[in-house]
Amino acid sequence: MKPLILVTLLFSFCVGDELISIEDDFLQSLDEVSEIATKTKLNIDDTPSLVTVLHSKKLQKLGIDNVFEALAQVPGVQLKREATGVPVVVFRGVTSKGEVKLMVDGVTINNTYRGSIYHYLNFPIELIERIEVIRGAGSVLYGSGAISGVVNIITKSSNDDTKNTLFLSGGTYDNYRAGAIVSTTLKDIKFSADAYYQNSEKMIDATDRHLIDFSVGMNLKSQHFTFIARVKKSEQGDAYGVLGVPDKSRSKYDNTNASLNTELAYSNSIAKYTDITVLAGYSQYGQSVEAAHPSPTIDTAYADYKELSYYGQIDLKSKILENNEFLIGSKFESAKTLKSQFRKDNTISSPIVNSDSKRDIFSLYINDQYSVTSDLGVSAGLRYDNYSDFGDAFSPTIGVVYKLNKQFTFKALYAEAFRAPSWVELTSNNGLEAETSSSYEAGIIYKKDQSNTIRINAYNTQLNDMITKNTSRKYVQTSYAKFTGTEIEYIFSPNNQVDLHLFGSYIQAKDQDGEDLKYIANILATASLIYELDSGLNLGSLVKYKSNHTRSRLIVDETFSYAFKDITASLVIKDIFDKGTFYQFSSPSTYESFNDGGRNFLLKATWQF
Amino acid sequence: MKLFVLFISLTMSLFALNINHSLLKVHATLVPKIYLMDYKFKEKLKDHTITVAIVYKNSTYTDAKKLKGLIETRYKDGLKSYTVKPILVDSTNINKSIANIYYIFPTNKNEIKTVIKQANKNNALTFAYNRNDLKYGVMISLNISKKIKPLLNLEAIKVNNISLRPVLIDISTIYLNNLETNISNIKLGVFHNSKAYRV
Repeated sequence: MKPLILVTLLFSFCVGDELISIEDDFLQSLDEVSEIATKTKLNIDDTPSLVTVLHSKKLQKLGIDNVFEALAQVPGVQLKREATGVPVVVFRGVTSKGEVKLMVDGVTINNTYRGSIYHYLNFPIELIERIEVIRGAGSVLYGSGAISGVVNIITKSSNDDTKNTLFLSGGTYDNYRAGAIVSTTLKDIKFSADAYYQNSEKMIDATDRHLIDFSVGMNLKSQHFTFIARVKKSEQGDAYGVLGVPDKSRSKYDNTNASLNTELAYSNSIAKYTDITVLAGYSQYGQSVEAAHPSPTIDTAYADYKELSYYGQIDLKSKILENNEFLIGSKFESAKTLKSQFRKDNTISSPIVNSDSKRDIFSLYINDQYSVTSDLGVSAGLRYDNYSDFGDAFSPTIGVVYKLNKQFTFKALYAEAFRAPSWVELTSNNGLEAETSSSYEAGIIYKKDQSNTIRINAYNTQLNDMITKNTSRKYVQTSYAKFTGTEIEYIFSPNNQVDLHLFGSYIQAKDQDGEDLKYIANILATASLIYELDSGLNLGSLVKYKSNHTRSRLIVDETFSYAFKDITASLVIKDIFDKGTFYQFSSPSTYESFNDGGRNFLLKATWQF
Repeated sequence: MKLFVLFISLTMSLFALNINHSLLKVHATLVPKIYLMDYKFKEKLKDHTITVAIVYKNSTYTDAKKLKGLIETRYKDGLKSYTVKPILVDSTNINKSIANIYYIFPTNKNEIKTVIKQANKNNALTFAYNRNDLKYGVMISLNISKKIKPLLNLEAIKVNNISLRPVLIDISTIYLNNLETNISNIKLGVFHNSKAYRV
């Protein structure tokens, strides 16, 4: 009898142990997926920041073709083009270069030259998994440039799955694109690579906007290590001109940008609830510009520029204190000029950037997210940056999120941010310091039920020590500007039938004299509707309204796409009523505004295998 | 503006919901594990294999393949001592399928009901991508907030005579009669007051 009892007890013990193990394992998995949700911004309404996540699949159903067009799907973002044709994204009315931080898979794209990001704005939507956008300041985690927005493009190559994709498209203006994503797994190492080539022969107002653009990227991922690398090169026409003389020639007066960005990351758990991430990166950026010159004796002005930068970064994240997610990190970055030349025809002039420019940056930052109760969360952080070429900057932030009930969530945030003067600005005036900003914002999220979500927020940002050009074209730092606005979003998706998204913003941008910044759109409104027939035919409608002090415009895009298993084909008709897209110039020009063309077509096909 | 109104009026007979691939990663992790939270799962398994039927139609085929790949990668060495086998099932061919858990992508009400019927035949659990589909009788979905919680349709679970482990019920959000609450509110009898959330 005794052995039987023993066996029974042992059996019960073993079975009981297995049950506990299954339950514990499940609970651990819930923690793990909550981490995934936070990392991939699935629970954006539960964090203090105002975040928008744009999913590529939805964007493609609306006919959106690249990052530039995608960012217009973020409340408060206005698209513009400079006279040279380069695209500009204006977050909340803040228009200067370098006040938006752009990253691809977490690697910063902004260069030290001008802080510019435009050469990545034509990055194709087919290579993108999602775009995470922080509206407002984000310097505490992202450093210089995160004044009005932070954009992180997450590529499909960085995904865990091993699907392959081929894509092709073609349309108006001899616009065509071809590309591929391939991936495979060897033992525990996942390798992905993507590449594309795109070309457009756009001529409008007899000015050249041709584009030749290509990129190759790779991603190697093992249990603890990730290595990413991307090269990108693009050449485009100068449109209405760099120096005020339009580019009428397809074969000269071009703007060429080339970049290489690499990063090696190691991440591991060093103790229970504590993870370490070590990053090392190396980048190069170069720009060559040929510009038609206004002088009758000079044909072309040439600027050639090249820089390199490298960095090391250590982040420690810990949940060792109950209800806290604590981050402490440090980064060292160094950048230097490799080449800087400026000439008019064959005559060498003073370069735009000193050819021996060098910058070392040391940064230290802490951030804590504390869940006071299950309904109340507080986030606080502080960053210190020391720049060898102009001084230092402190960026504090504090945010609160409070869930009143399942319907209402409230958010409030105060943040200070900065932008380091670019080398172009410092070469013009080496007494410049950082532009700084202070922002207050508050938001309400109302979820009437699972089908109706409304998000409303209001903000006030003051941009201090603005770096602007004076009448003698020298960069000076004597002014400030105030940006006040509100953003509203409504998402309606009852059961599986409808995906309707309405959003709009009102922006009041004033200079220090209280005058309106007239080139800023005051009212932006967008409606998108996607619907899909059971046959697989998908219809996507996008209605965009923009108004400033002088004009308003309504543009309608329509996209028809058909998905049959692995293959998706689509027809995109942009500006279906041929109203024309115009961007107002920031400074006086011989042309009234930047004419970006009217109705155009695009045929696309994607094969996943 | 007229065009916009036209689009709105068109929507009543149309179908669309965009699949979030980050959410698929979450589902790929939890779906097989939720099956082990059924008290009688061992009796229902054949060959020690948890078969996950991913029900798709043409427009969700690539998403279904993505989920299948994610489950295969995650559970390539199995779950505990069990093999995890995701299979793709065309929604038009659901009647021949055999599985332990049915994963349902957003589709129309009739197709969801057909899947539920087949799942009941197999004594299987049903899991919806879209939590709104619990109103059609799907058993489980997820409640995504700062902490992810399972969302259980206790009525549908009870009808199919499935016993889930108490720990799962305790940590889950409970969906009952178009309302969401937690089990303690149901036990306390305060289910119909403001602590419940109409969906």
